[in-house]
Amino acid sequence: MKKSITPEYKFNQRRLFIQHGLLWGTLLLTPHWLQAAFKWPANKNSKYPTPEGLKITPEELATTYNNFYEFSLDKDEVHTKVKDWKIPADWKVDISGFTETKSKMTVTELVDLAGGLEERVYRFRCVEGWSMVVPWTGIPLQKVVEKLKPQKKCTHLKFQSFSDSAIAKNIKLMPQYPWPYTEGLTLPEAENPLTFLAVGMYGKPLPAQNGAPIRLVVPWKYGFKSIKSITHIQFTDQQPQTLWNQLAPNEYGFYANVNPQVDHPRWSQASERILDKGFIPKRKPTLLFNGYEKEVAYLYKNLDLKKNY
Amino acid sequence: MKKKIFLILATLAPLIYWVSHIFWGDLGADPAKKLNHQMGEWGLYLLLLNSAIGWGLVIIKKTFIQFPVLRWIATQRREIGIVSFVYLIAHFVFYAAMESFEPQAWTQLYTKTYLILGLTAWIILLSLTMTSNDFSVKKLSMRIWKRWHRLVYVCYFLICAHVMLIEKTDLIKYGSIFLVFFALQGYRFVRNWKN
Repeated sequence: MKKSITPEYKFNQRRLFIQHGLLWGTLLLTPHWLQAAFKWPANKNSKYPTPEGLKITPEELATTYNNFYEFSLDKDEVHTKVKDWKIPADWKVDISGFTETKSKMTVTELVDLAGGLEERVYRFRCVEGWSMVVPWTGIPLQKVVEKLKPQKKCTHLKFQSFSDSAIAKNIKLMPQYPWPYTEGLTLPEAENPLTFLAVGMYGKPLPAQNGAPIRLVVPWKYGFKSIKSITHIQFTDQQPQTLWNQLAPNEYGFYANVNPQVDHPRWSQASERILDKGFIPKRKPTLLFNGYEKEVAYLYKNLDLKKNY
Repeated sequence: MKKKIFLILATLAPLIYWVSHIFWGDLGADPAKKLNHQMGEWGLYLLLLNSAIGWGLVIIKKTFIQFPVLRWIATQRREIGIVSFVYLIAHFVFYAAMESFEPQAWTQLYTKTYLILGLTAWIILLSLTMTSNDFSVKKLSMRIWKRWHRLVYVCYFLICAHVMLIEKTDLIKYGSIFLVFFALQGYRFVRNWKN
């Protein structure tokens, strides 16, 4: 009988154990230099609140269900495969091409260039037919582009992802993919106020599996456009090659705007599963430009969206 | 009889394992989709098990029939077939769950190619399951029954196309499974032709 009562000192040790666990857990799982570099959480931008009628996706879902093929094809597994990835504090984004300011910039330099962090809640729609609602912390790409001064020749931006196959081991296992992961935007798309460079989510630095330390978020396009763990931004005068477009040009176009009228050749895009904790997902009709029609429709006025998917 | 119960429990184990996870709530962010995928995959594996027994009986007959267990399993192919269809019923139910049981779950069935193919295979396999009993074999005569059940090969083609159309990532895995299958089945076919 006596044995079942936990002595007080052991009880306290447990608390210590939990505290240490939490401390080490956060230190190991988040790039803590990002934690130290900025004030968290950042100010909320009231222009981009939680969309009406929707709820913010539980954080543990958004951080454990990830497409990051460099690490694994299994969305449930990516977060376990990034554990050994120590994201260096001197992570640099190589800025090149038709810009006045060619340089290698650290994440802090980029954030300073844009004038500090803010938080925005965006809808996130994957081409596979599921969606989330995520609070991102970051900077508008527009402000960065403005400061970097694109030259007249520049028409597009090309982005490239981290591709060290010693860490992202799946790269070696999938030689048929044209690594590194690349994505692109037109200059006007990059200059749209919605286009965002995120360094955090849920008021904390980005976890590795979500594209630390810096990623793109383009809320009116399918998720694969929102390239993760950016190492290069190139200002170019032609439409960049992108990974998914090279792999399956008939399925993944350069624009990849969310559009319920234009189905994926193999499955429907008319509605989406809103990921939540329930077993039977809630569905909602997918909206043109993922509900950001007012903000972005002008970009595609003279474009046949069926042909330019 | 004990052996039969063991076989059925063993072949149903993956289904019990995966479905029990619904109650543990650890199926990830898209649970219905995960179960839909697992049920389809295991249903296919059981169909392949049946074909493998067929290959064993034809290609390596002498070795195969030396083992009493294998000899016995070779008499249980109807049962394995029925269990595989149980998986395909679950595959269908979780598909509908994934689509939240909304109208588009049904309209998609006859508008999206990969679903038309899948459903056709499903209906053929339903007919094979319904006739997997002694009564049907007697009623149809063994000759016609056997011919009817060769429709499973049509299903393999349909399932192969169904899988290759919906898979975004694991094309290599499923591609190699079907490649090995069609190679072995092709070998069997050519052998039969010569005899």
